[in-house]
Amino acid sequence: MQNGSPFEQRALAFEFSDAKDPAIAREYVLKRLFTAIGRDRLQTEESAKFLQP
Amino acid sequence: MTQAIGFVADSYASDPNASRLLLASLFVPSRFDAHANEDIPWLTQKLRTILASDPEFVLEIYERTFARGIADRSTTSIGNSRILRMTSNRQQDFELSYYNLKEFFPKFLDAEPRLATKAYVKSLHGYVLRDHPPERVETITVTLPEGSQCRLLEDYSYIWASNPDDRHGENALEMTQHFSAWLQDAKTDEAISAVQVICAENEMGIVWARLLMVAKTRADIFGSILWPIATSYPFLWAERYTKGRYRFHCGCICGPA
Repeated sequence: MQNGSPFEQRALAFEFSDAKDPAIAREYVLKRLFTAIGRDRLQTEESAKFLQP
Repeated sequence: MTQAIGFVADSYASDPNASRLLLASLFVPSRFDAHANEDIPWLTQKLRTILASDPEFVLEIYERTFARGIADRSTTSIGNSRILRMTSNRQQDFELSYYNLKEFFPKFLDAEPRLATKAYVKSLHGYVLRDHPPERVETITVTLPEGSQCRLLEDYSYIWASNPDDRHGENALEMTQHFSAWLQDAKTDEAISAVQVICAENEMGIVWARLLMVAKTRADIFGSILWPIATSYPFLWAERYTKGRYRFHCGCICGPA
């Protein structure tokens, strides 16, 4: 796993500041996003953490 | 008057400028408010003839018709039978125009794909604002990494158009099905051109959602255009309610699934 996906870095930087609870919103959206992409294709450890049960 | 519309349309090619001037006058507010239920269904039956001479005017007809409606339901008569007198109403009569436009749309797409795509965007814009006006009419401008921009208006279509395959929906919604089917099989250059039109001119969520659903299956040609849009924050955040758009992410990365 590398630390080089510009897309993943960009997605991880989203703050969801317009959500009622930004932390929950971030967890919810990014988990769905990275699940859709699939663990095998993710390139950063931080993204993969969203898929852990 | 309605017969005159047919005469002008049938002889459109003899003087396109004069014909367009005459037929465009049907949309002048005073005329439209009083007679649109009679005029526009006739006009929209003549699109094939007009298209041959003036495709730009066909686009205008789509835009102007879908942007307007008739709220008046006063009774109108169908035919002149003295035995079985049937009635309709002004609103219902006018809505035949939407049906005509929907029926003609695949032909318009085949003949003039770029203009028809513009007509699609304009039609859906008019339809959404008229029939499903969002509570917040706030368009989000999305600046993409390479500096270009696109727009998104959350229209809540995941509620009122949740089934993209519904065969008994409104005429405008059936146009989304026609467009998706066309885009699925369109020649590469025409498909890319159509997507570029949508990126530049569309803001309605329903048009984006349907586009991204098709894009998944043609990720090889749409991926580079749509990936930055689909992965922008406003689109990801809007996605929280829906399922369709994520399929595009997979398609982009994995190729057609």
